[in-house]
This record gives sequence, structure tokens and C-alpha cells, in this order.
Amino acid sequence: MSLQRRSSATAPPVARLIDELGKLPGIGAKTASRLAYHVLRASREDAVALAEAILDVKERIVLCGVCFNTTEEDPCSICRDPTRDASICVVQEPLDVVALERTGQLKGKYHVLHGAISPVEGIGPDRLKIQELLRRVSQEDPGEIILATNLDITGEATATYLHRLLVPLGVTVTRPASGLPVGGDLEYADEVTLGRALAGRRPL
Amino acid sequence: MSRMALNEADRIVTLFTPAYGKYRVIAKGARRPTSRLGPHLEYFTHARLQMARGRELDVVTGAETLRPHMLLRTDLTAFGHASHMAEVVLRLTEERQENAAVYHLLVKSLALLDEAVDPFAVTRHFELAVMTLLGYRPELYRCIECGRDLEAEPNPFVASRGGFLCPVCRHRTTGSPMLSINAQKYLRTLDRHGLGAAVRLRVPDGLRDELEAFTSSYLRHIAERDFHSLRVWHAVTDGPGTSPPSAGASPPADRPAPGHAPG
Ligand SMILES: [Zn+2]
Ligand SMILES: [Zn+2]
Repeated sequence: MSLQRRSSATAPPVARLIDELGKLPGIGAKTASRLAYHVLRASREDAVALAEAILDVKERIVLCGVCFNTTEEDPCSICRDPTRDASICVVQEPLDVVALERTGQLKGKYHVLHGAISPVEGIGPDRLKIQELLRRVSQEDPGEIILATNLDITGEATATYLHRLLVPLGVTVTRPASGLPVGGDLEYADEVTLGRALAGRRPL
Repeated sequence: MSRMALNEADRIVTLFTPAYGKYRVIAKGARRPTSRLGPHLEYFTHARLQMARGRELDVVTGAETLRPHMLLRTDLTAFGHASHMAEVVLRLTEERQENAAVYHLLVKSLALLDEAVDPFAVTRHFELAVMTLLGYRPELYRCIECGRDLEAEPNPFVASRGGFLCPVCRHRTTGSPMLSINAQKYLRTLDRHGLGAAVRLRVPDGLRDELEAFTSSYLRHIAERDFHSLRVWHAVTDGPGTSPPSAGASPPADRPAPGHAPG
């Protein structure tokens, strides 16, 4: 109903912008039109800067061919850093790397799965960067793998599954066990809590 | 039963409730690890919630876990089957449509999985009961064409008509899957004698696969879409570096079986 009302009263270019903004996560119809009218009122320079930033991110950011974090250069700066040790910290999302780097606790490298096993959503192991992780482990001999997937049910299932695959490869598998309440997303943990959880990680 | 990020801190969570059926609500702050609501709104958790009316969606204001179903968090097979049951209810029911019977069936079935009752039997029982409650009960005893009692022989199941055809009427279908004698017996045992009797049956691997394929294809026909959970569960448990799922021994049910062996 609101869609029809809008299309008759709204100029097509504005309606198009509202539709595009409405596709973003967490943006409802109301927020989308507020943002669209904000852009409409903004200066031409601001609008161009926004449009260019969006294009830039699509054209210049790629996935690192080693760890699958988002990066401008492949391999990424973390994978190329010779001062880091060989241990691999496995996370669900690129933002988790940012959160873990803030703690300053980890001296090794990362591996970004790009999700967690979620049967209801149809996300199985084949949709995640798991084969790539196994290949890395057999090539790089990392010693320790830290499974820092989220502490909710899909993150736990993913850790359980990875643990089963990794143990036969002769690596020590650890998980930040305590300190983080169940159910939250890792990327929103504060760095003190996260740092403490990492320091207290235990073999699975 | 499902959840998605709404913005940086909040989630939209789909609940299944006795009074409103499938019911989407906003859980503010639930994505933060320090959230007090978060753990109560985890997948498959049985919880009592307080709500406040919101503009589009209602908002969770308080929560208390009744049963956390811990085994579903640590056992991949229980997790996969719980996911399947949630998916079936999500796909076959409408938002805000009361269905207390389906609610109680789901609560009971999740609890049984959590008690380590054979997930195969619990899930097949759940599927058959959900089909019955939602008006898709398969006809297991008579030919859907002529009404004659079905004999002990493989018969084709016609999903669009929700039943089997006897040998005389069989020419009326092409390409409907044949169901073995033992698969038909298993379904009748579930139907007549319930889960207590079904968990006592020894179900070999091949029969498990046949029955899972049968209910999956009938559910796909009813919902007019694919279901993902069991496929993902197979990928997780049959995958490399894992031992094949064990068949054979089923843990006993938590209540006495009502009577007979399969008919
Ligand atoms: Zn990298
Ligand atoms: Zn017939």
C-alpha cells in the first residue's frame, strides 16, 4: 500500500534511490526514504563522494587469496607480514578480524570463512571457505588453529565440524572458551572481554 | 526458529508461539555479546517472553529460558534434525496464525531430541504429525483410487493425491516413487502406535534413507519448495574426515510404548 502511494507521489529517480537503499540490511522503507531525501538535499560534491566510495569499494577491494579477508592487495598485509607466526585464527566475517586485531592478543594469521553452518538457511560446509582452510593447514603447518567463530549455535556447530576435520591433520585446535556470553556476534564484543577470552583459550 | 540482523545491535527473530503461531519480533541489542536477551533467543530455545507492542513488529522486553536444549548445540545430528523441524514449521505455517497443536508438537519433539531419543524416529514422527495437523495426512491404508485395502507389496505414492495406488489402479500414475513394504509398515506403525513403538523398531540404513527421501519429497510437494536442513546435515556428518552415521541401536523412548509390533 505504501509502495503504491509512494510511486504516484514520488519522482521516479527518487523512488529508484529509495528502492536501492531499501535493499541494504537493516534499512526499512521509512529509513530508506529519509536517507534518499537526505541525499537529495545534500550538495552535489557530497552525493558524488558517496557514489564514488560505493564504486571504489566494489572495484578496489578483493578477497585475499590466502586468508579470504577483504583487502586492497592480494595477498593481504597480514598474510605478507613476516613477523607474524604461523598460527591461524578462524573467524566468520572480515569484521571479526578487525575486532580481534584490536585486542593485540594474536600474533598469527587469520582465515575468514564468510559465514557459519546454518541448516535452516541452507548454508552447508561447501558454501564456506573450509576446503581452502584444510589446504592451507596441510601446506603451512600452522601448529595452532584458534576457532574464533561466534559463540552462538551456528558458530558452535561450525567449530565442532572444523574440529573434527582438523584434528586428524595433527594441529592443536583451541577455542576462546570463557568470558563471552552465548548468543552474541563476535564483532560487537569489546576488546577487553575479547582479549581475556582469547588469552584463556583452551584445546577442544 | 530463524533470525536476521536488523542493524548493528538488533535482530529480527522468528518465534513459534502457542497463541500467535509464527511470529516475528525485534530483539533490541541481541547481537551484542553482553545482551541479556541474546541467550534466551538462541535457535531452538524454549523460552517465556514478555513483549511490547511495536509499530510494525512487536519488541521483546524480557525473557526467561524454560529449556535451553543443550544437546542441540553440541550434537551435530540433533542440531541438523532440530533445524529441519524448525524449517518445516517455518515453511508450512503462516505468520500470526494460531496453531497450538503444532506448537505443542514442536516443543515435545525438540525436547525428545534433547533427551537423545533417536533423531530419525523423532523427526519422522514429527513430520507425519505435522502433515496430519495441517491437512496433508497421507492415506496409508487404502488405495486412493478404488478404496481397496493396500496389500503387503511395494506401492507407488502419488504426492499430488497424498496416497498410494493399488496394483489394479497403478496404471493411473507414471513416475511416482515406489515405497517398499517395510517403509509402508514403518509409517503405519508411527501412525497407529506412535513414536514409542517406532523407536523400538530396528531400521537399517537403506530403509532410513528411503523413508527420509519419501517424507522429504512429499514435504517438497506440499510446500512447493526445497528444504535445506537435512541436506546440510548430511554434508556435515557424511563429509570428509567423519565416520558414517551409525544406524542400528536406537535409544529407548522416555515413555512406554503403547502395544503392538508393526502391522
Ligand atoms: Zn590474507
Ligand atoms: Zn486401487
